[in-house]
Amino acid sequence: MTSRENGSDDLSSIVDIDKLIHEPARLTVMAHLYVIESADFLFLKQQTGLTWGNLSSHMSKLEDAGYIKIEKEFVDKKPHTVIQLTEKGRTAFQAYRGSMINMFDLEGSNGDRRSKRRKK
Amino acid sequence: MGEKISLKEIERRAYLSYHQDGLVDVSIGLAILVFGAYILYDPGMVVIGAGSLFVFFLLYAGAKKAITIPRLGYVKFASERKNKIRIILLALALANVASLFASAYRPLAVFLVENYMIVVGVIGAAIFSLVAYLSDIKRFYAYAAMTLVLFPSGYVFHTLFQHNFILMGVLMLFSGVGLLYRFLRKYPKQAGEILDDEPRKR
Repeated sequence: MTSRENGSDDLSSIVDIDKLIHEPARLTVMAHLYVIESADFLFLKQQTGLTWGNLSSHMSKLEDAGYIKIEKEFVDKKPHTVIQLTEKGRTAFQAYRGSMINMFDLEGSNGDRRSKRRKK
Repeated sequence: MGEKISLKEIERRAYLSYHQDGLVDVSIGLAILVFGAYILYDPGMVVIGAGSLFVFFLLYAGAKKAITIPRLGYVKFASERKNKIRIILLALALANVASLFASAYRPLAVFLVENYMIVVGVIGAAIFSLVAYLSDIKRFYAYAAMTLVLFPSGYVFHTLFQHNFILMGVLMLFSGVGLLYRFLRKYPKQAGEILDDEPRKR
């Protein structure tokens, strides 16, 4: 396999990146939901530093994609919105994480080889 | 250069932000303080004093609900965190059972009674260190060091056991109140409806 063909393989992994997760604000939200069981809007707002409007619109996109589940429940007779990652969202985040790690590992090793060749 | 942030670090930061309110310090400090005052008033009332600890843990849960959740939000941590808390509770229960068995063995019981200041200092420091290690709340290492210095020094300087408890409680209480003050300033209570039901425009 030529190095050019190798390069196109690398590019296909970039194209396959889940763009819905790749957006920085949504990536932050997904990463937080990945490491906890569930949280409400306020907790995610405080942790991510997003505004209510921003957070709300990103949540809607993630919910539409089936990555998160937004449920209303009653805590001490008060309505409370709880958000958690769905199984689909968890799998998608793991796949995203894996492809990003692979991509940068390949980039790193190819880049190293290229720079060594240039030095020779 | 950008700081390397891992998922583990995100979880750790979220967990620590939830405990930067100082309520755990205030609750434990208050419990130790009241326990010290109880046994100072009547050394025979140790059981009642120990029972009062449960009241303070109930207070902790109530304060968390009234102070932290309206400001920082509600979160359920993953089972790994819950397991660590279970380990802490199990270690406390085992220490309790071990102390009961130890007191039944007369020579050991005599040693414990004669050196109770050092024993309390070492056990207290071990418990605080375990909590610090498992919970990632590093300030508990400082409390461990404080316990290790305060109680054995009481043995050396012949201070009253109860006074050491009260001093330990007061120091933890001050530390907790300081953290709580900083927390309240950093996270003001969120206004109105967003507390209960956040606006979701679709």
